[in-house]
Amino acid sequence: MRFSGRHWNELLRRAQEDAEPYAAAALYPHALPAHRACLLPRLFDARQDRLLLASAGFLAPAVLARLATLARDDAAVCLRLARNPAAPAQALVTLWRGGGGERLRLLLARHANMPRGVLAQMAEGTAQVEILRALCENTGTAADVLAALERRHLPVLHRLLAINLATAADTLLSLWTAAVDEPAVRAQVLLHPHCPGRLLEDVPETVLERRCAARHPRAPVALLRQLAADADPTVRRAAAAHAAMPAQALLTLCFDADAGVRRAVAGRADLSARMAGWLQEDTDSWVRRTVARNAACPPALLAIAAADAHAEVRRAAARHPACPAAVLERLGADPEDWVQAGVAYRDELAPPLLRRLARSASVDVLAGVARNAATLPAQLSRLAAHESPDVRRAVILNRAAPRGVLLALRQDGYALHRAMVLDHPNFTDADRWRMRDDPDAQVRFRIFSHFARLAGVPAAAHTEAPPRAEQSAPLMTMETL
Amino acid sequence: MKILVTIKQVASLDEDFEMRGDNRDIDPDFLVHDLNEWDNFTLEEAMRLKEGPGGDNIEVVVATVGPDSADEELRKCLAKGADRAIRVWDDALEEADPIAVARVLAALARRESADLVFAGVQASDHAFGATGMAMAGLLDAPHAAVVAALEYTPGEGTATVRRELEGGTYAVVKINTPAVLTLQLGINTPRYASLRGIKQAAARPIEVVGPVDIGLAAGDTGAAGSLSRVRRMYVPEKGRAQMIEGTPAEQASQLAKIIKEFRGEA
Repeated sequence: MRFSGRHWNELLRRAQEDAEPYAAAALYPHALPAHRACLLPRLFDARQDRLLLASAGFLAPAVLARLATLARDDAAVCLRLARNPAAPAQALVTLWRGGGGERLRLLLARHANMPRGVLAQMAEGTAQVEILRALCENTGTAADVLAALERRHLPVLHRLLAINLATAADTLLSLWTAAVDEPAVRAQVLLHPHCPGRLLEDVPETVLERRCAARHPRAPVALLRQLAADADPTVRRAAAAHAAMPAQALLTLCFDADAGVRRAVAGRADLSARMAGWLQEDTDSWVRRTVARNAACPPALLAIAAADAHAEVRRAAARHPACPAAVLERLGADPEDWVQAGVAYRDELAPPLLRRLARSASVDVLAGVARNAATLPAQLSRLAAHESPDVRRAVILNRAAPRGVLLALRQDGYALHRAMVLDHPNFTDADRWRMRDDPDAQVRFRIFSHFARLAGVPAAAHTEAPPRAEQSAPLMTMETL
Repeated sequence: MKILVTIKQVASLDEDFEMRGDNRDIDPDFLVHDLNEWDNFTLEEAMRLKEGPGGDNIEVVVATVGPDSADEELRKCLAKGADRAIRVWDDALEEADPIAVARVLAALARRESADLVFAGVQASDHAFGATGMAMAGLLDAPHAAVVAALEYTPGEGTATVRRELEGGTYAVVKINTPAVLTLQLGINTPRYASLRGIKQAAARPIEVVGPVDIGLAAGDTGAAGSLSRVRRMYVPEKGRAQMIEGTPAEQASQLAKIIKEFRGEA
């Protein structure tokens, strides 16, 4: 299908006449200025629509930025925009310039898209603890601003500062020094990616700190060895999952009294065949299940897992990426539907086994067959008409489902399915175009967005917000925005 | 045989909203409308009887009391297979409480000579839980509330219902028909309307009648026919709860101080 001006004009007309504002919102970011002007009344004339759009997290930044300009005097719209995670920097700055109440300022301080320059000004200009807390929680707050907040010596901010990923190493060190009696703060410092190396050298005092130290990717081997022998099982559990844990310590952890520790070992990507064998005989079914699902588990051990008394262990064997065909054949005839379903999701199944699974009455098994790339089109056609929405949805999720099968699902009663089928790679633009009068607003929004992207003016021509990297410039002020 | 399914267009709210100028309701700009959740189940139960053994002659009629916008919910029901839709409205009904709404629906049930009347246990917005049973009272019909299962053979003079009671118990009740039942969530699995059904429903007629058309006098409708009136709607002020700020040590110290104050030790 070749999208032309005629098609665009039809979308424009439909969007203007649509009962909901979303179709117009889909076109707006890609429309020429004259067409944007045509869409404005449908988008923003009614207050009810302005309120709806302000809290819609799926809208393009251009729509929300425009709304912020038009509705800056409407406190309810401003609050919804400030809470909307999709609100772009420009919209947020407009709201900030407009003043507003305490709640609005708090929401703006918390918003991840707020320009860093503005966040810095907020930090400088307020002593309100709630706003300072919001700034500490904001992932967009720059490291130097966080350092300045730390220098205020407000204990209530310490833990939040230690959690923020942007906090620099020297700030973390200051927090560590200040939080002598605060293991919760120190634990967060130990967990932080910028944690100074020297803090990770000694075994911390509290369980919480030791657990966090055991989770730190740069934890030294000597520390890990000590933590592997810790009296607290939660610490040993964290240590057992650490990628740098020495093999010798792992051998001990393999036979730990705590099942959670053994489970952590069983899930390791570097699990040796010998340890897999031991853990496969573990009394805890969750350990056996974790081993059977682990790609590092030798395929030869899967025959044992396939005969396990617990269905979840057998299913885990069926999901193992290298499960041998003979084991799959056996699990395909398992008395538990849930185990058979695990088999049905595998793409490399022998055709007779797949055909046998397709005869199942279980929705779980049929959903697996419907999702399977090797399922024949005739079989998929049958499953596309299945009464269970889970099975029909699995057909849509099958990237190999042919167009003929998908066309039937275009008429599905479940609007979510119609919205999903639009994104299928085997669906053509002509098919999508025929759905432009779908009764569901969500489906229409997706169709209009698709064609607007294809044919409209590139959104970049109208972007208002500068890239994030530019926002972090230290000299950024309101004027430069 | 006829089953009357009474439905309601309900409103839902976002986190922030404003009151109407008279402080007796929410500003309509903040309301998002939808079909009452319970009504999906009541319609499905009617459709289940219609599509089951002996259901060939069942006519499912959906009805609501509401303004033009409620047509959208009636069309959803038509799309799922209801045979007819009726909307009763008059500006005088604006102030109707559940009893006044029940008067309208009871009059409609009489006019339609319904053999069974299904209503949801409650509406998700105002949650009175009164309309269905008030309607049964006005019709002087056998009734059962909070029905979690229904066994009924079309044409028979009795039905067996399982009522949901407190504490996870059930009561199995045999009831004469015609009857009014309020149905509980989970009584069945509601269907989705087919796309064809939705498109066809958009073109189907909805009968719109006024209270007078179904034999109600002016004194029976709206505020005049209501037994209650909303005087004020408001968000209560925050109570005496106090957030204790600070580090865990500071919080513990502050908490200990508050406890001492309450004991009179501080």
